[in-house]
Amino acid sequence: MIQISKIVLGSNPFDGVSYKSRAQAKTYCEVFSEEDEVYRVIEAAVNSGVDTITCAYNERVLNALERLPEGKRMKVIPVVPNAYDYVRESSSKGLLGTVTSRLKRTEAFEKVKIVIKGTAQIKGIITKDIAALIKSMLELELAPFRKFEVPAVILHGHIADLALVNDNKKVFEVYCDYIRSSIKSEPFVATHNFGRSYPKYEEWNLDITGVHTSFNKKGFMMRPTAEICEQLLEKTDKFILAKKILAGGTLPPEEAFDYVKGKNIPSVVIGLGSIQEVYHTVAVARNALEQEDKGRR
Amino acid sequence: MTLRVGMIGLGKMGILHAAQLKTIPEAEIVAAGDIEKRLEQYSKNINPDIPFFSDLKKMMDSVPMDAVYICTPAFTHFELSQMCTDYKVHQFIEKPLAETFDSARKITGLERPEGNILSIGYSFAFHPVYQKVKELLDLKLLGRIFRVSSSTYISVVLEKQSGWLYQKDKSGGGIVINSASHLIHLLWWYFGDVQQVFTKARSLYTEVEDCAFVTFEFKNGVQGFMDASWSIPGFRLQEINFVIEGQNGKMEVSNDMVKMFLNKPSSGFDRGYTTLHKIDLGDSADFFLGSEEFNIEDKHFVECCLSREKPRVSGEDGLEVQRIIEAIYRSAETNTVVDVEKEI
Repeated sequence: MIQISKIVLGSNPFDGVSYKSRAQAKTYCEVFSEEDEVYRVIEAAVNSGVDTITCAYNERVLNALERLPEGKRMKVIPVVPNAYDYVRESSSKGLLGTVTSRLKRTEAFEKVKIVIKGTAQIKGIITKDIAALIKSMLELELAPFRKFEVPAVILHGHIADLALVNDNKKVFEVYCDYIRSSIKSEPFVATHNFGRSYPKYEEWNLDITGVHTSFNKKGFMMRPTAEICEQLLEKTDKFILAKKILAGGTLPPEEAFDYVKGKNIPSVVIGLGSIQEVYHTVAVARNALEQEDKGRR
Repeated sequence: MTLRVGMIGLGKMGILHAAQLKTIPEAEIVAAGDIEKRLEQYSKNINPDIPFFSDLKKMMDSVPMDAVYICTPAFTHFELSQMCTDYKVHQFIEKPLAETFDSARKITGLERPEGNILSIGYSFAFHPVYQKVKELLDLKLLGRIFRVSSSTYISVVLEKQSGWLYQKDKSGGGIVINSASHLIHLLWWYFGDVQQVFTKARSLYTEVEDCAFVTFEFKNGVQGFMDASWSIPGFRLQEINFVIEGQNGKMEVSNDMVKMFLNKPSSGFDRGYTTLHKIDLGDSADFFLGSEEFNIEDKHFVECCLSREKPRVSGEDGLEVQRIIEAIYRSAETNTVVDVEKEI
C-alpha cells in the first residue's frame, strides 16, 4: 500500500503559476527566480512536517531540494512530461521537430547513460513505435529525479487527458509498466477531467495507483461537473492526491480544508508562495485532515 | 445529427481541436490529413480508427464529410480553403485567416453555398473573461468610451529562432499576426472598425517583428494603443491586458479578472470597485485541455454547422482583423500613419 503524507507541497508558485491572478503569477516568477527563495519556502515546509513535494522539472527546485540537510530530505513526486515546454516548442518546430530536439537534449543527461544514436533513429522512434517513444521520453524526463526518493510519478494531465480522449489505452499501459519496472515507483495519472477520465480508467481496468485531480468547494476545474466528480470520488479505490483545494487561491484555507473533511481524499497538494503561507496553511490543513483521518491505506 | 469532420494539419492546434471534437457527441472525426507523411504512424498511434491521408485531395475525395478544420501554417490556408470550398464543406480555419490581407480576401471571396459556415480560430472570443467584457461593454456601463490601452506578452522568442513561424512569407509576420492578432480581434470586437494606425516594430531575434507598439484611432472616436512582445521574459502563458476608460469609470482586464470602477451605479453594479474573478465567472466547457475556451469554441462551431447559424467569429470578422494587421505592417514599413479604410 502506498504511503504518501497527507499534505504534499506543490510547485506551482516556484514555476510562476497562479490561478488567482497574473499579477500573483508574476510576483512568484520574480521571487522564485532566486534559488534561495525557493529553498526558504521548501525549508519552512519541511520544518512544518511536510516531507513530500510534487514538481515538474525545475532546476531551481531540484537544486534547493538537494541542499536540504540529511534527515530532512524530501520525497519527490515528479510530474512528467513537462507539457508546457513541448506545446510551446511545437508551434514553430512542429510535432516531429519538437520531439526530435527534446530527445537530442539527452546529451545533457549522459551521466545516466541514455543513448540516442542520431536524428534519423529518433525520427524512426517517433513515427514507428509509440511504446518506444513514451519510454524514451520518460527516461529523459525522469533522469534529473533519480537522485531523490520517488514514491510515485504523475503523468501530466495534458498528456493523460489527450491519450484518454483518443482512446489510447496503450499510453497508460506503457507508462504504468515503465514506472513500476524501471523506476520502481507507483504510477499516478493527473487529469483535469476526472468525471470523464475515471470511468474510462475503470473500463480499461488500468493498473494505476492513484489519480491527481482537482477537488474544491467552488467546483473549480472539476469537469464536467463538480457533482459528477464528487460522486466518483465516493466510490473510487484509487489513491486521490487532490489539487486545487484552495480553488486557485481564492478560498481561505479554513474554508477550503473544511470541504475536504469526510471525503475520500487521503492527500492534498498545496502550492505555497511564502514562509507565512506555509506555516498558516499547513497548520489549518493538518488540523482538518488529521481530525478526519480514517486510517485509509 | 452528427457532424462529420476532417482534420487538416496535425500540429499543436490540430491535435488540440481533434481532442476537443472527440468529446463533443454531435461531432465525429472521420479523417485526418497532413502533408507530412511521416505523421501517418503517429496519427494511427493516437487515433487508430481514423484514416490518415498525406494527399489531402484524396482525403476529400474518398471520405464523405460535412466540415473541416484547417490547422496548418497560414500560407497554406487559401489553397486548402479553396479545395475544401469545392467540396462544399464547412470550414474552421485556425487564426490568422491567412498570411496576407490579399490571401484572406481571396478566402472570404470564395463562392460558398448558402448556409456554409466559415469560422476563424480567434478563441479568446470564447474565453470567460473576455466574453464577460464584451457583455459589460454592451451594457454601456462605462458610458462613452474615450480610450483603451492594451498589451499582450508571452515569453517565447528569447533567443534566435527558426521555423515557418518566423518566415514572413509563410506566417505573414511575427508577434502581430501570430499572437497579437488575438488582441486585435478583441479590440475590433469591442470597439469596431479602425480608422487609423501607426506602428513602431522591431526584430530582435528573428527575421520578423518580435515586438510592436501600435496606436489606433477607431471610427467611433475611441483612441487606443497596443504593446505586444513575445520576447519579454516572465510570461509563461500569453497574457492580454486592457484598461478601458469611459465617462462613467474604467475597466481593468486581464486573463484572470475584470476589475471595474464606476463613478455612479449602472446596470445593477454599484458605484466604486467591482472585481469579477475568472474562477467565479463559470464557463460552459465540460472538457479541459489547454484552456477552457477551446472546448467552448469547438462546441459553438459544431452547433453553427448543424444549425446553419452565423458563428461568433466569422470569415468576415477574420478579414476585418486581417485588414487591421495589414495596416499595422504597412505603417511599420512606411513609418507613416495608415488610413485603414482608404489604404487597405
